Amino acid sequence: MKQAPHALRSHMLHLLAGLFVLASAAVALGQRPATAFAAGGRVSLSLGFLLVFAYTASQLAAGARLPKITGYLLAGALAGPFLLGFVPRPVLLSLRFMDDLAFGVIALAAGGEIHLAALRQRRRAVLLNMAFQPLLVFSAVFLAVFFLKPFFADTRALPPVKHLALSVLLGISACALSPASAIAIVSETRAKGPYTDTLMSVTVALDVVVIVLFTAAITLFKPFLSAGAFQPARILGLVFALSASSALGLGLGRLIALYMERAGHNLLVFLACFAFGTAKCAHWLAGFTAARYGLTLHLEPLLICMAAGFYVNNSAQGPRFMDALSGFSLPVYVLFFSLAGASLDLGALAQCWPLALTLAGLRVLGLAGGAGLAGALAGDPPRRRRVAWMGYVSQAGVSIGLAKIAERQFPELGGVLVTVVLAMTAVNQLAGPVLFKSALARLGEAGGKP
Amino acid sequence: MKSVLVFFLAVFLCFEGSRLLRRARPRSAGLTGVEFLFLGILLGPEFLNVLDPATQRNLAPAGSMILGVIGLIFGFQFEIKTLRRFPPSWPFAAATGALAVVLFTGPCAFLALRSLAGLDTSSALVHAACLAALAIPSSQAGLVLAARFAPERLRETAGLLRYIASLDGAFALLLYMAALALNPAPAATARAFPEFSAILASLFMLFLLLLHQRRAREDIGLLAAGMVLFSSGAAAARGFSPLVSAFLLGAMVVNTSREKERVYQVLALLEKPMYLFLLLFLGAKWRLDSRAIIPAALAFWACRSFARLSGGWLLTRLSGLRAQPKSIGLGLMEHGGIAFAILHEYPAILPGSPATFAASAVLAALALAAAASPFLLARLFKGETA
Repeated sequence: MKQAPHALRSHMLHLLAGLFVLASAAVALGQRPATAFAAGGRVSLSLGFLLVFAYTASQLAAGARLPKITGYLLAGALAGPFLLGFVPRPVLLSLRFMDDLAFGVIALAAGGEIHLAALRQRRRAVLLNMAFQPLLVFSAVFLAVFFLKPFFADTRALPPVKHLALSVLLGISACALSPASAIAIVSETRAKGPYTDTLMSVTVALDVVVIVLFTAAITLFKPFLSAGAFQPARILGLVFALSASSALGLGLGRLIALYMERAGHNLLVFLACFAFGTAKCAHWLAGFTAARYGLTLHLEPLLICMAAGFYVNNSAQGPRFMDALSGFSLPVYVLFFSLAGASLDLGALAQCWPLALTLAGLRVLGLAGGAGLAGALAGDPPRRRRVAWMGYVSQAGVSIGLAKIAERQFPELGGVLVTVVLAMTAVNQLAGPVLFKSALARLGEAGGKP
Repeated sequence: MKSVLVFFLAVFLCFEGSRLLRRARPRSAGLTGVEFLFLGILLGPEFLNVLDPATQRNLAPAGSMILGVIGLIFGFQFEIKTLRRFPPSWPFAAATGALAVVLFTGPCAFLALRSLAGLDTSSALVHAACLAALAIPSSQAGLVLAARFAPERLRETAGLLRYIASLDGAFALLLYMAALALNPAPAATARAFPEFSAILASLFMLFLLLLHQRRAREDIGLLAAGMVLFSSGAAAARGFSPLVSAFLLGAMVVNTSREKERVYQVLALLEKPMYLFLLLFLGAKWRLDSRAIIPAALAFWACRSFARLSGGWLLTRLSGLRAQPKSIGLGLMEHGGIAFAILHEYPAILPGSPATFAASAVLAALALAAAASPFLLARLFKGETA
């Protein structure tokens, strides 16, 4: 009871700080930059504003017992181009590189969260979840889009083949999860336990499965939707690229462990450079092989970093590695999620919210069915089975990335697909972290102070 | 993509360089970090072209952040309570030294800019004031090391020199601020001044509000980074100096916040790498294509050295300081980090060929002073009798 006035004072203080930062930004951003120096200043200003504002919002969210990443996301959405416009689209684009950096660091941490011993112990549950969740989520979303065609303006006018392709692609992209959100919540709540172990492994592995399925679907539909021919080699190429990414990640993990063993100076800077360098080198390699040899070897930076994180954490350097990453986690999460919030396409949500909400609801039903069934077959206690789905609701980068790939492949379909996926992601990304945190609290796996 | 990769390469080089310098410094006084200027030249357009002009332009936000961090750290040194602990004659000594530099370098620079560069009076006045501001700051780094080996009787001299070196930067920033205010600015910038003052005041209030509660070290680091980016970005976007605005913010926070020690501990971790980063960028921007740079650099170096020596002699005439060695000015020959920071900012705020040329010439003079400084310090502390 004694803490109540203190907590109230803290909320008031953060609310006041939030208003201050908004007012300062409103005045500071009011003028168009005249020189290159001023334009550079504008980017710094937006970045600084986003850091302080998202941090303040996260403190308010924590006060309301919500996850901090909900605060980051909401702050980003409020500051982004769709609402206040304090972080306009060109600035958002110039800060894209932060995404690569943050995504790499989060992937290293996500890989590090997969413990070999726990994975062996929870292997059955992981495999069952990976089988049932995509099956039920895909079925729910596919059937809804396919059979509810006349009820939604976005799908009504599509010819049958395009409509079938849209249903399949939306169904697959609905299966994608968000390792970044999962790792952020696990790190914030310092969660540990069988549910957390299973969820981390499923979240990471399922994204890989979704990428393979999505590419297979694109390859399959290509001859029907555009002038291209059926190219089964594309799927083989993808499987090769994913295997090569995992192997390369493990090799690079060995090198990180070696660096830590032999030198280990400025580990944070080293890991940041590694995460960013991996993303950029993978993009460069894809461009280089396409230009030089006419084939695209697209190594997956997310998978490389995850495999590297997995290797280092399961080596003797594990505790030091995770310590270094946790020292870096606050700025990375604040930036990554506030930029993600600013990029949330609220315009798309406003445009097709009935379809997006229907699909998001059906996705949740699929997740609940899949996670519940997998839990029952794996022998999980009923309490865990009831809440298991709540940790899988978040959705982010992979689904949007896949929809954008489909947009490039099928321009005649991409518009609807991307809009629906963006709208669905906005709903899932805002609701997902709250549900996951609540599940961890109910199962007693949230170890640390929120 | 190249810009960001280069940025990370530079970050790694600077952090590793900072670590190596920390290890090598006790053994080798000659290593001051100025070596990074030459690394910058090597990476710049003159040689390897890794830091090419386009990359430098793309990294402008990183530049204003560096200036912000340096300004904030410098502002944190101005805690009035701490400054009052020193003898009352010391601030006068610092002011006398700075005044001697301004009175000698300023008019010389003005005459050179009017007669040799052909600038009009108002432009020459602005650039001359900036050059005089660049001549004021002196380095503490060499003094810290030299003081360790100083004989007992010169310990107070070492303390006085460090005090002067820390105050010099503030005089330099004040003069620099005045020079920018003298700049015949467009109407929009003049209108922006009250708005910017309001932003700075509200950022100060915001910082105080957020530091009112005790926070984890990571949270303080994040808030400090956010405030640096916010204030320096707001200043740069309005055509003001990010360095000065962050300095003012730092000076206000250190005198009012209870969490100043913890904020400073976080900032201090970044001080050396940021300084090396600055030198790397300056090196890459260094233009040595004009033959006139060498004589201009030598003239600037000679002017400043003379002003420093005569200013040093003058301050030993002040009451309470008569026991100090008359060649005390030898200890103030190396330029402080603030000079490098002003040098990075000045051509960006006042773009044009006079500033670019002057910056390149002054940079050469700064490198010369850094090379000569260890010998001059050794002469002061080992060879001088009071």
